[in-house]
Amino acid sequence: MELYNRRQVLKGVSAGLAVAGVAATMPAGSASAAAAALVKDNRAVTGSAIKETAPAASFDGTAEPVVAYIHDASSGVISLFVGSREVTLHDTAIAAKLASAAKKEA
Amino acid sequence: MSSHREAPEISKDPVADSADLYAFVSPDRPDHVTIIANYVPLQGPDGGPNFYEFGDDVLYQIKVDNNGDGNADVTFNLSFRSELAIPSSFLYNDGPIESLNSPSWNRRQYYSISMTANGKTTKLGSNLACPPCNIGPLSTPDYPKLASEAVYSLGAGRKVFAGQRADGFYVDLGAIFDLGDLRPLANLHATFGLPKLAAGKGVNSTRYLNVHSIALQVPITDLTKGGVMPKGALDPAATIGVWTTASRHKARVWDSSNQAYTDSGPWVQISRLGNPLINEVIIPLGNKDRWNRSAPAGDSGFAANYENPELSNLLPILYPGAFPNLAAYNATKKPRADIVAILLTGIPTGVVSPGFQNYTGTVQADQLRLNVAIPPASKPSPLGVVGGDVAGFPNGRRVFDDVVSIELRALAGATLPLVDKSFKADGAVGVVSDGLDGSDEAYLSVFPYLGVPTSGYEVRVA
Repeated sequence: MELYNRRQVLKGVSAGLAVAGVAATMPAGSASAAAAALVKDNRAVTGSAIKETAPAASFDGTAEPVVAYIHDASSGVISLFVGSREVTLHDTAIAAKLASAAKKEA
Repeated sequence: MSSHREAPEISKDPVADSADLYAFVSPDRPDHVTIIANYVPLQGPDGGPNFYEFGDDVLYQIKVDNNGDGNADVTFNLSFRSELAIPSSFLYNDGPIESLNSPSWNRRQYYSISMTANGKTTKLGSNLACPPCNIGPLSTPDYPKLASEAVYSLGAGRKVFAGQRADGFYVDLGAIFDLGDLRPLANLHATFGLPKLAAGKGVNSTRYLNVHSIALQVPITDLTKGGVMPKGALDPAATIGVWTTASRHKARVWDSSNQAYTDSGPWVQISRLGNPLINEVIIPLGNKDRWNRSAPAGDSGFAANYENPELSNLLPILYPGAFPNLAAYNATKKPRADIVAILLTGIPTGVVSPGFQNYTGTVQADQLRLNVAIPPASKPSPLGVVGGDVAGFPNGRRVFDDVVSIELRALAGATLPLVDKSFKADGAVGVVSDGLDGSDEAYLSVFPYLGVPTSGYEVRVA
């Protein structure tokens, strides 16, 4: 199975393909940091809105897996599930890149 | 069934499938309310070697509304955890299980329980053991003793039990879901040109089947608004609304590195149950999954199904000539205010009798409403309020209440005269029933009231 790290995803794939239902997991332990970096990068690059369904809480290094879900890549909405929380990220570029990566994987 | 396998999605997820809900003033402890929520329906007792248990990945909740807004004011939360004591064995147990700490018992389950009220969550207990399933005379030689060990005092007069019980609900599923056939009236049923059916006695489809019960017994003052003991049955604080829900995390992924599922994200509700048989026969198939995911406070969105129940419209068609008055009423398209009151708002004072009400206000919410100031009946009728016993369904629900006959009769028009004096119920209403007069299982006179589960070894001929 071909694996993509975050940088590869961000740099190496083309955008623009809509994919419904892309889910990805990151290894426990690195997941929190990776998700935090993803969110941080996203904020820095696009200033996207990030919405949490639960009261604000930081990724604090707990070894919890993160699941990313993209229902419609063209919307740019990425749902991140961690612990008992859902973080909603709005970034069309990352959503498109993940969708494209998922297509390559398939 | 009350709510066993009642919707397409939840029928595929039995550990989260709420099957029955009971709430009643405890007959042996009348200053306490007992609430029982059943899950994991239709257990064949011999379903080993992996016998039944609650879902470790499911959040079980029992919710109580005490101010009539349709939202929970008091919530009991239960989470379960399973473990293997003897992982090298394929057996559920490798010797007789004579106590809850038996070294012979392999697959065990424990749980924690908390109570949320006034915005504060209080842990009531943790690492509480469920009893094993009832396996047979060699594995569980004294099951009543094992189960009694699993009744825990939580302090402040509260008790809890979580584990296998005999299903106390009784219903003739095989006939009812064969186009609404009621065996006692089968000779009157339309047969669509097929041979006539003969009338007969009902067949109890849940006979000798088990469920997993969460049973709570708490002081009345745990549940009422402001923690007050109501002054009497007409005290507005006397009525509470009860329902149960099961929730799962929003995302689930098979983690091959751990050889286990990873669940993450917020809890999302996938099952709920207040009044019996609602999602079963009131809510149409296309909306059942949505109903299970929604909250009682939004039930006005389903009110049309209560106002014009499909089964009420079908009865005169399925039993030609037996329900002429109901057919005439159906033709008027008038909403069934009696059904709406019984199931969505509670019954106001004076409708049934001067001293009875279980009304919670104008907010329409499917909740099992219990007036906690009405004492247990000395001579209870399984027909509850319809049978002149206001301590039974639809004032709460006791384990022996014949909710199938009560609701069938109500839908057939028995309760319509309560709100429309000009309506005269058809003569057939008095005999509408699935032909069962009780469960085949013995109930207990004390907590947790549902009977000893049938063991896998027992051979019983239905």
